[in-house]
Amino acid sequence: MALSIDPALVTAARSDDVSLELLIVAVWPEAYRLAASILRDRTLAEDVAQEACATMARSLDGLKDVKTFSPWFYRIVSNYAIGAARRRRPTVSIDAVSECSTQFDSSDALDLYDALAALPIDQRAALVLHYYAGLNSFDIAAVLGVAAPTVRFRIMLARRALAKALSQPSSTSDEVLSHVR
Amino acid sequence: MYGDARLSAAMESMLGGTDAPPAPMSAIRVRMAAPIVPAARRSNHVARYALAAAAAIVLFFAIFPKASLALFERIVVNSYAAAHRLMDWTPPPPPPKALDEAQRSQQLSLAAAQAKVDFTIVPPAGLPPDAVFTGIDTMPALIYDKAKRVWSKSAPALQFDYKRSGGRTFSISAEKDDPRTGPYGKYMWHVDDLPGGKVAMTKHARFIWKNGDQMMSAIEDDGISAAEILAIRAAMHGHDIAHDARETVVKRYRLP
Repeated sequence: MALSIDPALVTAARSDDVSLELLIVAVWPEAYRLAASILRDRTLAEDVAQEACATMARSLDGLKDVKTFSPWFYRIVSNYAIGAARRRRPTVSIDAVSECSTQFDSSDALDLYDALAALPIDQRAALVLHYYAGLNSFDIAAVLGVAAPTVRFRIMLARRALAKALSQPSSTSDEVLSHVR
Repeated sequence: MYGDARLSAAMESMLGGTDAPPAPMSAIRVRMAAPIVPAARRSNHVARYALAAAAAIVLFFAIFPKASLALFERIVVNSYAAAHRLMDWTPPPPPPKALDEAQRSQQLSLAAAQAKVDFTIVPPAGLPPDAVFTGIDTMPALIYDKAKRVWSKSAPALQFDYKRSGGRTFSISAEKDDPRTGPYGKYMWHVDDLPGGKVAMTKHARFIWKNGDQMMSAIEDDGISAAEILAIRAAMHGHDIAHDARETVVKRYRLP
């Protein structure tokens, strides 16, 4: 999982404003990146990340187990990002694409960025949440509001589409589904 | 190939390489002070489509009641036929009238019955002490060949009728054992009409055994118990019948 937050900081943030600010500063880049990967729009991603951080700060007392902070936070960001993606018109800013693309130094990442861009929002979100945020299919199901098998199916479809876009031989359904828990 | 590890690494590289602007703390604080804006929940598309379809059907029924009922009936009939085809069973067409009318039930003596059938009759034995034999009825039968799709006349089945104390009656059937008809059912369902258009279904065990080329069957009910049927079978030294389901190439129908 990309986000690694000290549970002590989460606990402290519940009662201490300074700790809360430190927590927000710590999670902000992840919130922004996740939102940007789903939305592919920097302005919208920043708006979503702000809303997600504010919601996280207000709802922190409701988090039962501080060790589950990361998936819980990813869920908040994803919910807002997916909601924003569905509300906006399905267009992509060329500036946003080129701006993001030039910042990757890995050829895999460059290829992947383009391939991800072609995926439907549900498949893209499922793939990012699984392979980047490290959420399992049940957590992703809770975020996307669908059943866990649907998430696994979407990841399989997304991987197949990626393999095709990247001119790689696709894995079989069984292979792909066996990777997703 | 993009395996799990490479995909995760590429994802990490892609997102990790995205420069995030500094956290806008003042904007976040403003948002924290504002009431929570719930994230847009995904509406359930399936439920929405189902609701729309149901509404369309209700509307169609309301506007075109006769056409709707006819359509509904056709759908049911077609679905039923399709289900049977899927189960590898095609309902036979009605038998030709000439064949049907030529078959009439008759009451016969044992000797006359033997002349009518194509198997050697082994009469029931080991009957309950209060059972009184009342006669043998022929039960006309037709055979439908599923491969050739034709009806043909079959030798009749026989029914041995008995009456008992308390006004009870029972009967035992005898017919030629035909392995081509597949396995015999273990149960029969008796349907009684109840007031208000309801029906009551009662399950009855069916006992089948073989003597030579005769297949005998009896159904337990108020007239005869399962134990009494088993006593008859034992007294007749009946054998089990085990037909292979794959041999179901013809179907024998008894006519009412």
